[in-house]
Amino acid sequence: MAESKKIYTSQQYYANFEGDSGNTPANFQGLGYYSRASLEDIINNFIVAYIGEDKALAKVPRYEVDFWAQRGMQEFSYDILHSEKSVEIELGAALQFPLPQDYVNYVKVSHIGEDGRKNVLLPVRTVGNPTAILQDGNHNFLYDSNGEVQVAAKSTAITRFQDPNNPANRSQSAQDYYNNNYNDDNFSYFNKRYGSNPEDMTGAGVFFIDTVKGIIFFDGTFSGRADNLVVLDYISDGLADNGDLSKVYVPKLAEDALYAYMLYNLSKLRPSSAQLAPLYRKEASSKMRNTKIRLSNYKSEEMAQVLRGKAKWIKH
Amino acid sequence: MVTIDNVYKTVLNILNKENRGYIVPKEFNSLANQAQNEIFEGYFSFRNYVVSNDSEYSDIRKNVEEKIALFENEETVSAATFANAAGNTTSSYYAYPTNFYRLGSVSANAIHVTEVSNQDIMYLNRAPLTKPTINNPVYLRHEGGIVIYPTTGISSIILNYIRKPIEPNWVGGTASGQIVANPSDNQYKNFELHPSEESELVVKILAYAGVIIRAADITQAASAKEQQIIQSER
Repeated sequence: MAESKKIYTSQQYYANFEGDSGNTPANFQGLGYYSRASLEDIINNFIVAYIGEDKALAKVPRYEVDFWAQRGMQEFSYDILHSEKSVEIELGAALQFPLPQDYVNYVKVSHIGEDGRKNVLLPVRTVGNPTAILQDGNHNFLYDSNGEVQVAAKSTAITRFQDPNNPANRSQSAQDYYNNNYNDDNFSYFNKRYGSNPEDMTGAGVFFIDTVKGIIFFDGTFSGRADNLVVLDYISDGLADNGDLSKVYVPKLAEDALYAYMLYNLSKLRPSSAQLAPLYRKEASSKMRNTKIRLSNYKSEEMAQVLRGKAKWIKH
Repeated sequence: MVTIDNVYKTVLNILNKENRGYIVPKEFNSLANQAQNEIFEGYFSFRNYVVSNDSEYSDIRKNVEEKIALFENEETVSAATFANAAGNTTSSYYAYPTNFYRLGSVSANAIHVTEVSNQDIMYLNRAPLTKPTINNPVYLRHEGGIVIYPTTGISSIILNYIRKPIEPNWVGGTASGQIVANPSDNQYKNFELHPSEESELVVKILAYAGVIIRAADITQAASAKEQQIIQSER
């Protein structure tokens, strides 16, 4: 009844990786395609299995199924699915870069070390990027010809945050501190060791995301560094390519949970099936939980390996 | 298919009993078409209240669907611009075929096209998750045809529809005092309904014929028989 889900021969599958363009299929779905299902397939499967006379849902237009499938994809992207979105950017002198077009929220921001590993950067909570209203010498607001207040391109707050000459952003050695500068109020270690807030006690630099303007700012610590490679891991809603749902992918481990999510949401809106909605809700909830566990990717051997390293007394 | 000659002769045999009367071919053809249309239209409501079961041949709903399926058709249609008397034009318009009766499904490039209402399309076009695309097109009905959204980039439109039955037409004459059909005549058309409809066609035509020849007993008997047939089909 069903056609094979393995759509390529072995040679076709590996051809792209081996640079064999002659045997690479025209619309090659990429290595590892088998681990995911397209939203188009999921919608068609759902219509076949759940909608029709004598089925869970009697009559549902395709666009409604599309809607709930995409809503499910969004919610799953936020809560369940792993972040697969990541950009590596070299910071320029401006110490900032625009957020990706399909950005919804960040997972982590890291600085890439010489060993290629990610060193996680922390966000700063005490910095903002307010709209800086231009003022004259008397501190009155300045207006344009339309009577609207004029604003600066960049706020002073963020300029100071990114200022490499700001003592807090200077990289200074501990030796300097102990030998010469313990009386220097502007010394960068000042107030970062004694009575300070631990989240501020990082020499790796911090970042601030202005979601209104869509820019991520880095502090002056990054200025002048020879190697300023930064990685932004972020989540999207999974629907950046929803013009063609066959290019929107869901991990197969989450497929059943998505069906349950769609069934619950489509049935709760319809008087004929609303009676069963509480049952579907429980089913959807438990399948989402199950999917979370599946995608957490726990492997007993890996877990054992990690715990071996913890065979020490933890001192508090 | 039901042979029109059989029906005509059966009707005449019943009508002529006790010299009640006679209907000429022209009258018969008119009544035959009326009876065929009535039975045909009845399928679409009848299907909804008959029982369905798991049997192979006694699933009444399946049997009704089988009768409808005799008229299922598909046709590739091309885009045109519709214009009405007021001068309003509509693009991406696909007219129904000439033998169109009821619309089934619509596909574009082998992708199912969903039907929406005029009210829905306004909201759908403004909703990012449901806005029609080439891969998820929708259509709405528009005077003798459909309009497909998106209005560009759509091709290979196929309409699956139920076509109208061809009008039955008995052609023939008398030879040696016997009524003889002429099936080789181009105008000669049998009924296109399922063979099981022969008896119902006879009683329906008789009921109308009884009115024409003012034989109330014929009409009453035919109506009673029709009710009997309907009951037996449930």
